[in-house]
Formats: sequence, structure tokens, C-alpha cells
Amino acid sequence: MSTTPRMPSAIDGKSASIRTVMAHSSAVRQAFDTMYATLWSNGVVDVDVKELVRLRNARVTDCGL
Amino acid sequence: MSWLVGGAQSRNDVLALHAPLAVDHRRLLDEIWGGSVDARILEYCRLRTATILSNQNAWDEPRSAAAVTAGLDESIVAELAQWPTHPGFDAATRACLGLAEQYVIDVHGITDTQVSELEGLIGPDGVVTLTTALAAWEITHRFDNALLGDPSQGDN
Repeated sequence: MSTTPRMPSAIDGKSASIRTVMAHSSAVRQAFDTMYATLWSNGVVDVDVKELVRLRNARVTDCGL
Repeated sequence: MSWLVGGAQSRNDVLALHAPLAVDHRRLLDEIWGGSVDARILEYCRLRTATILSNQNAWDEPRSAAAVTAGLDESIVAELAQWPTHPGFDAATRACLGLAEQYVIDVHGITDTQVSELEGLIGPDGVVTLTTALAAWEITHRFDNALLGDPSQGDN
């Protein structure tokens, strides 16, 4: 697994991160962020349960972020 | 048919249970299909990852309208499993399909060189669009498998 970003930042003066790299495709990023926000803020599943699922998923997929 | 909703015949029927999420999901897909990556390549990747993740629903539903408009050739689609050697797939398409396969089989196996080469072929905006598309389709394939089942089994 790479320990450094593989893509440059799309924003001058900002280091590469998931936010600044995704900015290369700003419309896609915005749509993704909107859907992600809806996942967290809407629906009948409690937020703490969602967070447990997120963390468990990260563990299973070995996501260090 | 889904066991989650009586009478649900499709992914959209199930997604309708959470209307705001369905709207946002649709919008994300629209942005992906309207982005900088050739829609035919995106459709090849969507179908290839569907095969690897055993989502027959993705093959049975209509092809992407954007890909069809872009000239998707079903004779090439039929050769998708042969993409590493079939002459119908150019360098950019092969690079995208290579990333797509690695993404769903073992994402940690993606290499710096692989991403660098891909960036050289489709640009940084293309890499971001493709990678987001792969994420969206992996979700879709797993969603279908979990909630719609395999139409060929007849018991879902």
C-alpha cells in the first residue's frame, strides 16, 4: 500500500489529500460529497451505528485513513 | 426480485426506500457519465467489475445511455474478458480496465507506476473520475448482490 499520495493536489498551495486530489474533478467530487452527507444526515440508522460500520469496514479493507 | 421490498424488481425500486439517497446516487452517476472519461471505457469497467463481483443484474440492465451514444460496440463488449490482448481495446482502455480489476480484486495491489501511467493517458481529472466511478460501481454491485440477488437463481 502506498504511504504517499499518488496524485498531485488540484489546488495551488495545498498539499495532496483526498479533498485536494478529488478537486481535479470538482463536479464529481461535489456530487460524491453531497451523497456522503446524505448518508450521514438522513435515514433511520443511528449515526453511532453508521460510524461503527464505517470503522469496521475500514478495518476489513485495511484502510489506514 | 428483492426480498427486502415486496414487488421490487430493480435497484431503483429498492433505492426508492431512501429517496434523498436515491437522488444523490443518481446525481453522482450522472456526473461520472458526463465527465472527462470516454463513456465506452466507463461502461467496459462497469461491466468488467460486475463480472468479477458476480453481479448479473448489471449485465441484464440496459447499457449506459452515455456509452451507447458514444458508440459502444456490443461485439467488443462480448470480448471484454479478453481485454489484455484483444485489438479492440486501446492503451487507455486497457489501463482503465487494469485499474478496475485491481481495484475490486485487491486494491492494495495498485502501484505508483500504474496510477502514473493512467494519469498520462486520461489526465488527473480522468483518474479521479474513474476511481470514483469504480467506487460507485463496487457499491452498486454489492448492493445488487445483497438486496436483489442473482436473477439466474430464481429464488430471490
